[in-house]
Amino acid sequence: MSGAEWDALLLSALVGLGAVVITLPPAVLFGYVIARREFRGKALLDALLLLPLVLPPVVTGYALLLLLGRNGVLGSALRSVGLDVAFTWRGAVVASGVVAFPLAYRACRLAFESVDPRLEGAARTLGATPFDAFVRVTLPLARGGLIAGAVLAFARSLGEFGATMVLAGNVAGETRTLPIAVWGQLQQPGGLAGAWRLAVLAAVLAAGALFVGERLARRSVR
Amino acid sequence: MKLAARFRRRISSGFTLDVAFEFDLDAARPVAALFGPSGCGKTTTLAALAGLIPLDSGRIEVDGVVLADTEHGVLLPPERRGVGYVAQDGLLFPHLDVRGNLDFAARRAHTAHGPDRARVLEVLDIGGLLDRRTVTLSGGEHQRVALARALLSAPRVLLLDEPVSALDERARWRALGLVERVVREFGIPALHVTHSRAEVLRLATVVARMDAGRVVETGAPAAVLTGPADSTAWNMLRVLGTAPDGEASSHARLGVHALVLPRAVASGATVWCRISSGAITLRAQPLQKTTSSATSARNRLVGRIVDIWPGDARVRLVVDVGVALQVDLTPEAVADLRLSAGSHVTCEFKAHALELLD
Repeated sequence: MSGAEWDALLLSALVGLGAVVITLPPAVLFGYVIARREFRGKALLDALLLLPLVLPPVVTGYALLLLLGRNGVLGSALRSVGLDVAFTWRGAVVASGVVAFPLAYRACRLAFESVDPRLEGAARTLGATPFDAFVRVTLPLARGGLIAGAVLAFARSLGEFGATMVLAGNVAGETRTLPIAVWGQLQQPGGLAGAWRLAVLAAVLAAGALFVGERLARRSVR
Repeated sequence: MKLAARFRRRISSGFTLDVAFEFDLDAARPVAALFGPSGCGKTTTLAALAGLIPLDSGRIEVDGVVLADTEHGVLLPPERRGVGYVAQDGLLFPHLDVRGNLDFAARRAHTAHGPDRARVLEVLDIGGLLDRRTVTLSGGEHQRVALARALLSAPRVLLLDEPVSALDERARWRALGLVERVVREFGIPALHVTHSRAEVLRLATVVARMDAGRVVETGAPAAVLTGPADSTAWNMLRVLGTAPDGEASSHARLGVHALVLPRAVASGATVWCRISSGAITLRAQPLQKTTSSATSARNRLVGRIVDIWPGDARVRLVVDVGVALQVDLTPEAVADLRLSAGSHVTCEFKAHALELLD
């Protein structure tokens, strides 16, 4: 295996972790709100949150590029404080995070829906504030599902290609994750063997993540 | 100790909770009951008292503390109400063991003057369960831990939502005895929600009967619960064993009446038994003790009819024999014997028609 292949593997893992880090907090927040609250426009919000799941990733990537590119609304603002997103490792994290978000959100929502809301009520009558009840009762009971959501988001991020390609491009050591490296190999004559090696690496990494996640989720159920 | 609530809350287009009751509870036995069929709004009423659902309008006051008053913009959140809520299924936290559940409540108690922890463990007999996971507890243990957890939160009032109805008959009766003991020992008043007349008669000194979201009647249990006869009623009797000291026999006493029980009980023991309203025969005149009678019925209680509720297939009579006995007769029997309110009668029943519950 070459240094470039190791680089791609390490980068993929880091980008995947970064994607989980930026995805999980909003997934938990929206998952809880949609699971517990009734309000006008709830179905619409739910559909919007799931949108990246059904859009072609290339389209998602293009939308992100319009938003976060050098001339984008957000991109130019971030640039003025010295943060470049497009065509940097940050772009790779954002792209795979956005694409992975619906999976994490759905897992979180289902996890919260499986917690009996009357347990939260019981916690409240025992003297817990809403936040206290959420942290001490709801979160621990939903933990298995939340971990499953994080693992799913990580795994989805490992396979992310389209949105990353559009927003972050193919920069060696910065945005060239495993799928992009595979694609690069396939563009070269005689690159098939290298592509296979990368593909096996990607599969091993994803399988390992799913295995660890399953163990963690199961342990939290006890 | 006063427990007063008067509020409205629209639950759905077809169901509005419109509740009003005011209980002045006796310090010696401070238990009130909310009684009614399932779906009548009892549980939702408790949720409103606990602050888990908002009120459209109204006022709730417990022991001089206003928990909610929509006119004056008072609406205490559940964590500041000091209500010890115990649900039918206990609602123990499944991710914590028994100790964890108790600690959860104790750490958040709003006053340091709550029940003593060691005493709570002793009275509810759960000291040996502390390290158990909640899923391994039996139904009775589960409810005892739930009651202990509620007590350790140092509540002003216990809200008991059918706390024993998931248990089997015998465990249920024992658990009720425990509720009685807890209320007396820790001096915390309770509002007991149930669809069981027997539970109301055993525990409560005052009851509000609910139907379709409204309180339709409030008063003493014996008066409220002898409504029209739609089904068999259970008479709950507290009897005293009268065997000579240190012995056991089937002889007992109910007030001034001697009773024969289906089996022996210890001398001086207080036991609960029940008899169905359909198992009692009425004789039109008061029978003298000395009068011989060719009947095998061992129990003959003289009393006076205080109430008659005509129904389609049966007539329910309430006979005052010291306690109010509910008796079901056919309309023909009532006509033949010319029974009316005020008639003196003798209630007769076999020893084996009595069922000992303790």
